Amino acid sequence: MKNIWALTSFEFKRTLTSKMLLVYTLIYAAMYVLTGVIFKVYGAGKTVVAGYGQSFPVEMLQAGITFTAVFIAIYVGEILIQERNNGTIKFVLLRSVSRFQYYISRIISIFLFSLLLTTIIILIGYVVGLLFFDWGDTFVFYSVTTSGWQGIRVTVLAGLAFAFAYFIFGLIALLVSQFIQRIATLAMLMGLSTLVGQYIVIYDQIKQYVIYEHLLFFHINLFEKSISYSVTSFGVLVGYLIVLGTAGYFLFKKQDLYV
Amino acid sequence: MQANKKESILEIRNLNKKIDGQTVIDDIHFSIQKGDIYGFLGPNGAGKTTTLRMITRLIFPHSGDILIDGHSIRNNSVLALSRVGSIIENPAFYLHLTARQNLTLSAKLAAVKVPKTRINEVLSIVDLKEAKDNKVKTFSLGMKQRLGIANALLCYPSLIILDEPTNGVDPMGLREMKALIKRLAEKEKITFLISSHMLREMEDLCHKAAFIQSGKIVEEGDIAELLNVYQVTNLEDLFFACIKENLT
Repeated sequence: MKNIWALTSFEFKRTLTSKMLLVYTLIYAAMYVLTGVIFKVYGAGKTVVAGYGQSFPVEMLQAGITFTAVFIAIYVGEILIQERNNGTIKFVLLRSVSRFQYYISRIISIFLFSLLLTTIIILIGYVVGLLFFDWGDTFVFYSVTTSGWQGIRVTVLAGLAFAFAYFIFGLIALLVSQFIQRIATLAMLMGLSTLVGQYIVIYDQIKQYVIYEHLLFFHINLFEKSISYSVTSFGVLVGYLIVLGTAGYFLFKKQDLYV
Repeated sequence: MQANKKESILEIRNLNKKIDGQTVIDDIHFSIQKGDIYGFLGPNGAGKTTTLRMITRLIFPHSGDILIDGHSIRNNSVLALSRVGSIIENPAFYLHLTARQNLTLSAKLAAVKVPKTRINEVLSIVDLKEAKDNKVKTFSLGMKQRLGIANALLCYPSLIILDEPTNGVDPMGLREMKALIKRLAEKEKITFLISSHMLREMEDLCHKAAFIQSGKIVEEGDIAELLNVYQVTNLEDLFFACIKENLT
């Protein structure tokens, strides 16, 4: 447990002070500002937002699917592929760190990064939303119409659902990264998969079992569909977590590391 | 006879490794006694680093076993490696961190409790105390090697494994490194397993050696005795004599 905590806190501190995180923040900020500008110039019909500062962050979550997926993949590349390529994985494994502890620390790091990225996205949403639209008297998100703290609660819940789906996507990237030597290749593959994945979700019979459906809609379906539908979706994501976590670990456990 | 009475710290038992269907380590076995400075010698590509990677569990053997201080690496690698310090191929550090920060992280991941004072202690031993707050990316290769040794020393090891430790080290640094290894072996009673293809450099350092060629141990034992048996005067001649003997 001590080693998992030491590795996870090391990774989290490294992430918080990384230039990449600043770059991601600037990219999201630019995208959000652009949406605000387009809304102001062309009106509500040309954007996905309703023009209320308090609902702007949750409305914009879905807009960043490909960016977010690529950022998660790059992060996974940094914590596994880069560690392997730079040899720093042996700095850790030559100490008394088991492969299980190492892999678990990677999984927790991805979870924390998904939460961090989502928090940043939501905070930027509030800042840009307030700048362009003021707070507004109504919170509108699909069929949910409310205001004030209730709107913030909906935003936080949607954010958690969004982060959880991207965490699972990160686990797919973690598994795939064991076969890939370059971060750019992993990011490209995972980014492309989201573009293709958006077409898979047109099949109603299977879409609830496809990760891309959850990347796009889990945070929306939570409020739009029945409780049983949301519970099933959550169960599917937990199933992904168990299968991907276990399969990834057993692959990693047996892997020869020529570092 | 005296050496045989000493306790074995590392035992390699019938180790085999195949890569892409090709045998790269072929049934090797040897053991190292406590207090030895043991040379693992052979040309590039002979299988030295592959063997050391198997000892440190970075890669896995197809068959055979490795015992460190009596603990099988197959059954409990964390316990077996808890008192082993190593540099495999080249020392790896987080370049954006300082020497001290790297060692602090390393200490946190150790099986034994490492007091904070130990970091300064090991940095002093390798003469890097002045550079402790410099980022590792500013270090020369020789400084990284010394930091690697400091890292290996951090957890009060009983065995240190060094893979080609003289790579990139200038003649002055080489002399200092040899003196350091001898000092640590004598004063701290640390056993060393040192791989190298630079036979001349290992000559006055190692008491015992195993010669490896194409994944096979061609000879192994006390260097002084082997020089006598093969009627040669230096390690390089000894190595070629062993290969010749092995071929015939």
